[in-house]
Amino acid sequence: GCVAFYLIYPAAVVSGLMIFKLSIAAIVGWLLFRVSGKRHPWLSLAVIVAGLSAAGDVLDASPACFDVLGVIAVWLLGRRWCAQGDRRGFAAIVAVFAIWGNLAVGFLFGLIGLSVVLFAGGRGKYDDRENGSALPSVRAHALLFFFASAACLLNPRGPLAYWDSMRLLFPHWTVDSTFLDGTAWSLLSQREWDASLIAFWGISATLVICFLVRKTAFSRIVGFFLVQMAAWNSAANLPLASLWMTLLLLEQMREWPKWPSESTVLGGRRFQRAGCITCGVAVCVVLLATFCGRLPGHNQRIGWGLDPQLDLQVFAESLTAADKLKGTASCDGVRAAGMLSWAAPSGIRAYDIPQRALLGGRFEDETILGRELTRGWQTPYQREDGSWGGWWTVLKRRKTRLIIVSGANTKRIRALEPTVWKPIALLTPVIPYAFSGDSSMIPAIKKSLKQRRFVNAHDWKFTPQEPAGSAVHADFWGMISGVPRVEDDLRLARTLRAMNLHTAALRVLLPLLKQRRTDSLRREFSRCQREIADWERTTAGRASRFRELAAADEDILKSVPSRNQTVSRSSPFAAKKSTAEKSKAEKSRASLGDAVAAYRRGETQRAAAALQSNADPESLYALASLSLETGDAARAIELYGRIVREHQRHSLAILSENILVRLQQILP
Amino acid sequence: MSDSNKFSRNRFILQAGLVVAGLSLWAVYALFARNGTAYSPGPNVVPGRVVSGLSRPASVASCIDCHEEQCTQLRAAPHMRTLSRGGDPENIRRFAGKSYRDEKRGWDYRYVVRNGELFVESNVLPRAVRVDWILGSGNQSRTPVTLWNDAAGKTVLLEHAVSWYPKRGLGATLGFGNADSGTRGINALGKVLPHAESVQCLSCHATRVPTDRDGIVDFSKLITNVRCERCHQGTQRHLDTIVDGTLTMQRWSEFSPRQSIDRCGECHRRADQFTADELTPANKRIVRFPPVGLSLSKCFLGQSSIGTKRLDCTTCHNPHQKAETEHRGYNRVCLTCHSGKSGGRESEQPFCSLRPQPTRSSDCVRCHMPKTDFAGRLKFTDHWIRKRRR
Repeated sequence: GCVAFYLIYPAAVVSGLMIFKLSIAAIVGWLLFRVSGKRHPWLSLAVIVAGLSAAGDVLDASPACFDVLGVIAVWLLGRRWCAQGDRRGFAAIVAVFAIWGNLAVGFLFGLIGLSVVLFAGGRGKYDDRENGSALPSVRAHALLFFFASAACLLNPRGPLAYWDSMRLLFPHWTVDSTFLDGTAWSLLSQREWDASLIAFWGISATLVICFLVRKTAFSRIVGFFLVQMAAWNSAANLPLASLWMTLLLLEQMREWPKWPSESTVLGGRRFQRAGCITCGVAVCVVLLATFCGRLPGHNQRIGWGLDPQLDLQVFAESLTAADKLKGTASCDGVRAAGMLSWAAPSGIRAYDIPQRALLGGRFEDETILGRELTRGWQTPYQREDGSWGGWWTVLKRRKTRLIIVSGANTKRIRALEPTVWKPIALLTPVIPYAFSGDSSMIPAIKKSLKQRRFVNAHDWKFTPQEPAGSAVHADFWGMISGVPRVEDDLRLARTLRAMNLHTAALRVLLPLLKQRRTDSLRREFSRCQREIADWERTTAGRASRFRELAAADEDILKSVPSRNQTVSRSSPFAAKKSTAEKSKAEKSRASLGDAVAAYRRGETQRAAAALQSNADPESLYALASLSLETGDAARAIELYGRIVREHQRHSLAILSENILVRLQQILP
Repeated sequence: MSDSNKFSRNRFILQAGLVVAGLSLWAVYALFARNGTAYSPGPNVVPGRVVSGLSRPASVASCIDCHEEQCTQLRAAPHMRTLSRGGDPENIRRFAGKSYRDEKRGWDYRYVVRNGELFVESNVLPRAVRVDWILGSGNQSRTPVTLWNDAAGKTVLLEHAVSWYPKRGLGATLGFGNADSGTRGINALGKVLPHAESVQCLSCHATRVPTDRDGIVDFSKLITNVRCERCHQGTQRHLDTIVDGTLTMQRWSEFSPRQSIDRCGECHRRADQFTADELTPANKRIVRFPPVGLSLSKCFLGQSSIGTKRLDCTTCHNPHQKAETEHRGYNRVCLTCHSGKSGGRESEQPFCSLRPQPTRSSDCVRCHMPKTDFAGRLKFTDHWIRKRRR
């Protein structure tokens, strides 16, 4: 099924793949437009855009793209056969299934679709004969279905291809639902809302209304329910089901009266114009949202090149150390396995990927291993059914030499942190972990440890991604708007936080916050602060005021007096009573409030300036933390040392001691 | 009403009915498609892949009706003292009013009782820390632990730096006290373990550690100590099947020697938890883990070739009782195979390279499984049965 990729990539590299993607989207759009019959062009266009939004995820050089093309081909050829009944139509349908069976596994969906089309055709639904030729008989339909089914066997898997197709399209029939939760094959009801799901719901709801208000063929309703069942059974079927729904809706629309002449309800040109404008605006809004990465669940913006999450360069470099390894690698998904296979040392192969595990009946084992890795269940334990749990022995049995984890899989990264598996690369979208007992991997692990120290303690400064994109990816929307895409940098910050490199994570976040203050950035910043505050609380019995304020919600922060408010807040009575010390402490608290407010906006220089004149431990600690997070480790050491010397009995001295020891171990 | 109108109305009703029926079908399907049980990995809380629902463990009180001897033995065994409350009188007696000083770093630890609970005060932390639980039966040591929820809300554990030892009272816990310097704060009080490690720690000292999906341990439902269910899984099913006489039970006797030592190794460690280069006589850490040593022994590895005789942990030890300290019983087990008699039978192994025939004073264990010092504080029997260099 990867034939398209293997043909295109060597010849035209990433640009070839991009052109393929655009071409497929254009072809699918054009074919759908043909089905619509051009009767209500604007409305049809809106439906097609919705359909493409729902199916867009699979329109690239992957096997799933052949499923999409197969569905449309079956629909068009099936209708043609029902209408004309010629031999060429017969042969074309059989050929489509023969090719489909070799390229992708969704042909069972196609056979269901074909049966619905033939059922409709058998009832004379598509009778558009012009030359008076005879309609195909029920026997001819049966024969066609038989040959189409047989054509699906013409592949190396033979009859097992049906089993494969069934397993992938209806995984809940063969695998316990609880194992499919959170995967691509989860029930549709468990899928999070995104543009595809909204489009699917929109098309489905429109169809239901159409069925209710207009005469509809029984076969269409049956087809609708069959496809809906497939979608509800597995979220992975959503693109195919959405496409089928789109075809059904477009066909339904062909039978609607043409506005305004036949429209009597709201009649007239005004209604037509309003409808066209609404559809046009809807199409433009969806396209604009797609271009600027604002569709729910889709943060990719319009651009050209490789998805930054597939950037192989650093990942491949880190794997050169694994050249001599022999064994398997445990990958947490298709991306990790794909990148490993592409850059991999010859002796290492991915043990499994979810799809292969599902086909091979190993999905439950693979899921359990994945969950145990994510939850840190390393030690062997026996389950009630007698099987053994705990990931350590499973990896040992599989001769696992590398664990490949996607940078977005922060739970697994966090769980691996205290184990003997150590990352051999840090700033990559996919992180390879090697076993620290593996003598051949020790140099790579040491190098990565150095890198960890460098990003977390030395004077590392992070440069956010340019609006125009990176070397592998041109961001057109960024070029036009000048607004950089923060998702990849944000992912890096999350990965670093999961690795307990909180200072490094803040070094990534602070420049981003200065550029843009999105909700996701603010949330990540707060999470990072909360974790550091928790470490402080655990280590010294209480957190510093600086962290508590930085981690607090916006409302709490607003209640902290700022320097400008200090004078007005003090009543004349209080002013009379307050001593010089009291006013100094109040001033310190106020300047800390100002500093934190600036810090939360990423304005570290302003935050530091607000604290410069204070000498209380809270301000000194805040200043030291700021210095460390902005890459001035020497200044941070000096300030932490001052707290230890001058405020020995303060709880912040305990924290400063701990940080100092850590820094002095790293820095000369 | 005309016929055509009637037909249209009926058709509409039919279509609406179909749509409603279809929607109802989806709803039913979506609601009931989850045919399995929630899977949550982790010892003691795992339903496994084929067993639906968490089975409730039977209490020792239920088992005693039929297995009086074993239950009575177990009540006095160290396995029934593996996890106790910090404020337990036994622990108060061992810890309260006592103190320990880390001379190298000048850190003091004092144990005090407040409102019936045990606390540790120290010059490394500005506040006293409560001892929630104590791990260990006291045969070797008792180590205090403190539990709380981390930033993500998950239960985590602090393994204290000071433990109680039978012979010397308070002392540094294994793994602590070697460094010459350190910083004040929680790290001076002990080691904070990540959530998974914390639960794994508790799960070997308890029969059941109920943990929810958010990683919070429900201590109100915690079943302390190593009770019947910890080793004999499915005890409630066993009780339920008394009526029909089937008495479904996972039988220890049906385990192979490897399966048997692996079950003990769940807590006492298994050999496959180590890498090949760790499994050498030079690695003194192995003595702490008897199943690992035993699994490396020639006696264990070669047992398939000596007929029906069997060697696993239970050959020498009754897990319902405290291990014997006398060697006589253990030597007798050795002699069941190493009789030294010739006669061509497979099970008869040579007695000893030094003494051709066994005598009354023969002590196999003394030479082949000697007591070994560990970390200067503890002594363990080395279960790697082998010839040692003199």
